[in-house]
Amino acid sequence: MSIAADQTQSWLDQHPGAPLAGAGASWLDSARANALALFERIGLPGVRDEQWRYTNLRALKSKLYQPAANSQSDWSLPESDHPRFVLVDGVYNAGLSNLEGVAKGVQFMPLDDAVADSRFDLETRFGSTLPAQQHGFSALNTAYCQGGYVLMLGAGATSKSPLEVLFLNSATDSTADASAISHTRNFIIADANSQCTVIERHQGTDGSVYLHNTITEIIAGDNAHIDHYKIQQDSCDAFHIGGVFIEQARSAQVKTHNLALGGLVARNDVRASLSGEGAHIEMNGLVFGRGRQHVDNHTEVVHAVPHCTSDEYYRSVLDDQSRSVFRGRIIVAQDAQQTNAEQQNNNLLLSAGAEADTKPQLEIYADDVQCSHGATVGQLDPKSLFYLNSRGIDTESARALLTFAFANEVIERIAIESVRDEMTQLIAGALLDGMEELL
Amino acid sequence: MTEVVEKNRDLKELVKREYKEGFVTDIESDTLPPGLNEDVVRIISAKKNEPEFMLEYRLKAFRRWQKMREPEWAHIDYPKIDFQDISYYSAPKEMPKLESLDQVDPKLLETYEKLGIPLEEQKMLANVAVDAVFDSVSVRTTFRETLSAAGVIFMPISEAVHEHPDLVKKYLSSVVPVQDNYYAALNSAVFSDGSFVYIPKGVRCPMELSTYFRINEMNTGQFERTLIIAEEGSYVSYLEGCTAPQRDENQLHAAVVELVAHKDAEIKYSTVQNWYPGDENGKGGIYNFVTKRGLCKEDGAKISWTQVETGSAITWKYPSVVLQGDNTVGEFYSVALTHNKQQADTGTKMIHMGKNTSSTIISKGISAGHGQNSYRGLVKILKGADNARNFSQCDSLLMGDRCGAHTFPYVEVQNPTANLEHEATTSKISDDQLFYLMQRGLSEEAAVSMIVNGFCKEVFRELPMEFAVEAQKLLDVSLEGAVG
Amino acid sequence: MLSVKNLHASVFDTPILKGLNLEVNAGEVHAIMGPNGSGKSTLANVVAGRPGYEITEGTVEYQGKDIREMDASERAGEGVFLAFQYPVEIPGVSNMAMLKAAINSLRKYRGEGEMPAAEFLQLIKEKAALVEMKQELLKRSVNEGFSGGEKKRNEILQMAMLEPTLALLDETDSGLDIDALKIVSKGVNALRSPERAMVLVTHYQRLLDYIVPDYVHVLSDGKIVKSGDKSLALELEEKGYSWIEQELQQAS
Repeated sequence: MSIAADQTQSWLDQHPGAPLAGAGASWLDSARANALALFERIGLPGVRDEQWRYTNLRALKSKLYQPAANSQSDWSLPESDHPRFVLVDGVYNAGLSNLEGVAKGVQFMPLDDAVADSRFDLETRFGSTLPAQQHGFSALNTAYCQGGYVLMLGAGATSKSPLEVLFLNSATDSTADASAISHTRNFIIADANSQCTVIERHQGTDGSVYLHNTITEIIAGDNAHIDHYKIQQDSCDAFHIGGVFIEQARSAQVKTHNLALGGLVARNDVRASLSGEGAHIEMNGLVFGRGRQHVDNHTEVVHAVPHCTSDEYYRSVLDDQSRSVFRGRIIVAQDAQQTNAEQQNNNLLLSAGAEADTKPQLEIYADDVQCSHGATVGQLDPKSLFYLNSRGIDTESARALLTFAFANEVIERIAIESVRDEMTQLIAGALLDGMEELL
Repeated sequence: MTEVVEKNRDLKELVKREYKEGFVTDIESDTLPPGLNEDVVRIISAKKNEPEFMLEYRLKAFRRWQKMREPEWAHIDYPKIDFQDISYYSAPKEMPKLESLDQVDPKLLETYEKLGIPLEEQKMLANVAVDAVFDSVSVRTTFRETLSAAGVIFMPISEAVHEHPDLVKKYLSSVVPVQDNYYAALNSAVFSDGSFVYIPKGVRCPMELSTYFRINEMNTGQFERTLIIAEEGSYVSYLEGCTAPQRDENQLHAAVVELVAHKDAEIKYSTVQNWYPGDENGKGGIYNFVTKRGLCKEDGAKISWTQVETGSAITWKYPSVVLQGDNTVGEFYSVALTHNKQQADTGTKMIHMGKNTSSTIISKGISAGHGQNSYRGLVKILKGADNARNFSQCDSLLMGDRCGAHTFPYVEVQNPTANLEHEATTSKISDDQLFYLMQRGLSEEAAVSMIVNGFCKEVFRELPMEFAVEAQKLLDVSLEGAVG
Repeated sequence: MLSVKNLHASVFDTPILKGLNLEVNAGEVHAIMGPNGSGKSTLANVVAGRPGYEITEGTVEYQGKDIREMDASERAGEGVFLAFQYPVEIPGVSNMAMLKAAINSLRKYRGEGEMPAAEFLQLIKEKAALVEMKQELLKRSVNEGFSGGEKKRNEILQMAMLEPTLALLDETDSGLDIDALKIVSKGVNALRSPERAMVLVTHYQRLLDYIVPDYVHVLSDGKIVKSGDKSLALELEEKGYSWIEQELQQAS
């Protein structure tokens, strides 16, 4: 047996008796079986795979995993006036959650319940937003997803208050034979003219080693407005593999914010398929890499029909030995005239060991389009540093100020004030003790 | 004498061994039957009377090639090539000389006229006998004298193998290793001929090597090999190809070009490629799979690629620069046009290794009809490459709603003192621009031509003067029928 | 010279002009005024032959010729010039190269030979001085990186070079400060002649202080609703466009 096949088998061996969401629904059982068959065929991606060429998964693959046996129970969560959905190690935790106060016309429930409820029609929707070419992690996710949230907004429903989802990962015992693995699958289904903001937080205690594999499928109906935040603060020793897959109907307006702060290796795919005229997608991303972190962001926008617009803005700040990978792909189909697509990726290297790899791509098959992308890699401007020095600011503070200014271009795109403040505090505080108070 | 006889006997042995399965080929024949194996490689080397080291080189390449697979990552689509269905050696054919231009296909003359090619050159291109003054042999002799007075070596690589074996041994595949890629390996095993240029220390080559080329026959076959070496402080400008349409019986072309620039040397390499692109339905046309790479080997070296690619059914080409020395400079200026069913996947690689290196990439892609045009480029800053600079600008212009323009840049930075900027835009010729120019009296065709040439200006100004003018006209001719 | 009768025109299928009549004779300067959306710019663009601006009914005759089927370059050849409201940028094409190509295209259309290079250089120097255009701007790409005022001056320079018989000036004054407006007006006035007619499309009366028209027409909802001399413009300035609309309502 080849090494690759060996590895694939060992991955399959790691999930016996894992709790599966919605077990018993025959359509889901067969979807899981198909996904397993696919995984057996393709296995986990390797660096020879064009979409993974800069992300070596050796460290991830070298470990053994099994679903967490004893989940942590002593969580102290900050107060929140938003409805809050909590998963611990991939499984819904009713005790920690608070789904009171969800607006009229809005359903917010665990995947388990939604699978059994025909109103959600997950049978047709499950996996419908995934790209034709999946990688092994997506297949594993379908095969083994333990839980997740399902948010459904009826036509015209508006959720004024943001809906918060916490993905908590238990502290792990470093002497254990295997690390924890969890697979979560989530859905946001927004009917015509509905509106909501969802904040996903992915968290774990530093020092914990685990693998969290999560997919969120967003199906935005006519003129639906969805703001999706993903604040990834996983343990700096953990592996995070994520996907946000979006399908947009006519005039649907979706914004995604991907704030990648944690993880030893974090890979996130965001893909939007603009299938109705007038649809608009905004993709924002910030990578704040330290230590030996490796953050890989893959985005893809498919302009399938005319008159759609997309605007992408990703920035990375890289210190120590961290590395950022960005792949942004814009596809404009043959008949998608009057497309307007923009993409920017800027990288700031702060230390000699940091590395940035960026791969912006345009694939244009229509002619009446305005498309552009820009990518830069650079360091702090010595002239600005000198200017601040000459105003009496020491070099360390000056560097921190300029670095913050670079990151702030993305932070400013965050619409929710509380999240914007939180990010400002977090980034500023990390750059320089006490700087957050100056801003 | 005995040596020759022996050689012939060896050859006959070889041939017999090779074709024991059925047929025997006469060693005097001009063309080998289709197919490629070690014996064919031996025959090619023997036919050229090559020294032992060349045979070894070719065999090594062939063995590597056998273990390799055709690359499939490019954004091009074509039927699979049967490499055993190609003949790998054919002696240059003597074309029948015509007596006057009246005997030449009027359509071809019309194109020459549109391109503004001077009359005497038209004759040479169409293989018409020319006046004594313009006879290529005599002009060539004059050029040769000028060049050798300067100490410049310029000859077919097949001759250089004999006359300057040490140089060839030292530099051949020093920039493009035989196993670099599938087509480079193939070329190394079977290359037909090409140019060898050596510019000694401190010499500024006294003429554009293009001038020389234009009066030469360029029948170097489908596997062309070029090697240019510029010693310390020297300079050379080299131009390959010409704007006149070129036809070739061979569908597959796989050339390799290697440039080596020593300390403070500068090499400027310009290409105008106008091979047969196939008809409007995509029938016929050349497959052009080229490997071009330059090495700025020592400090202060500079290598500049300029290309105007309008021909070929398929272009797969990435002229690159390895910036090994400190303070070295790499440049890539490209216009690639695809019309009808043409496909191009072209760009460059800039590999920054030395300190204070800088590179510039200006790429202009034009797609018309059903053409598919991709820019693919890599800018890589290695760990030790302090203060590296790169600026890349990739613009695409679309004409018609059934063509495609694609951009696939790769940027890899491992040094925090690097500064890189990449910009790309894709748009169509705007109706407003067209109306503006037409309102000023220009016909639609003239307006399109003016906009397209404006779009390409940053690249054209890098070309030798006389070629810049022809290149502009070449775009007009290549885009005929693209608008309206 | 220009005779427009019962003109109905649509812009990308939206009807804008709805039965417009206008007669312009050689030597005359006509000002077309009207509120936003009344069809002023459409009229200029329809006469110049802009694609997408379609005549659905009525006739346009210029020097006795029906020009409806001519494309923009043929109309230019016949002597029609449009100074654009938003002059277009053309990267990589120098102002000089464009003007030279334009002059020679027009001469070719009229069966004349190309203009000798020396004569061209002399002419452009002279005309550039008229609109106070710096020499370096002539070598730059057409309108690229030009300020708003420079773009408008460039339009007048082109008009001076191409010597049209009928000049249509589409909001040439919009976006100009007072100094630029004076320069542009000086250029336009210098080109007034008994053989040449001009149609000024403008939103503001201000331009007419500098270029005094023979006739003023007010356009509303795709038709000319009132015509007069310069005093009409002054009255409009004072009372605003709503005055005309009220008058129209009372009449109906």
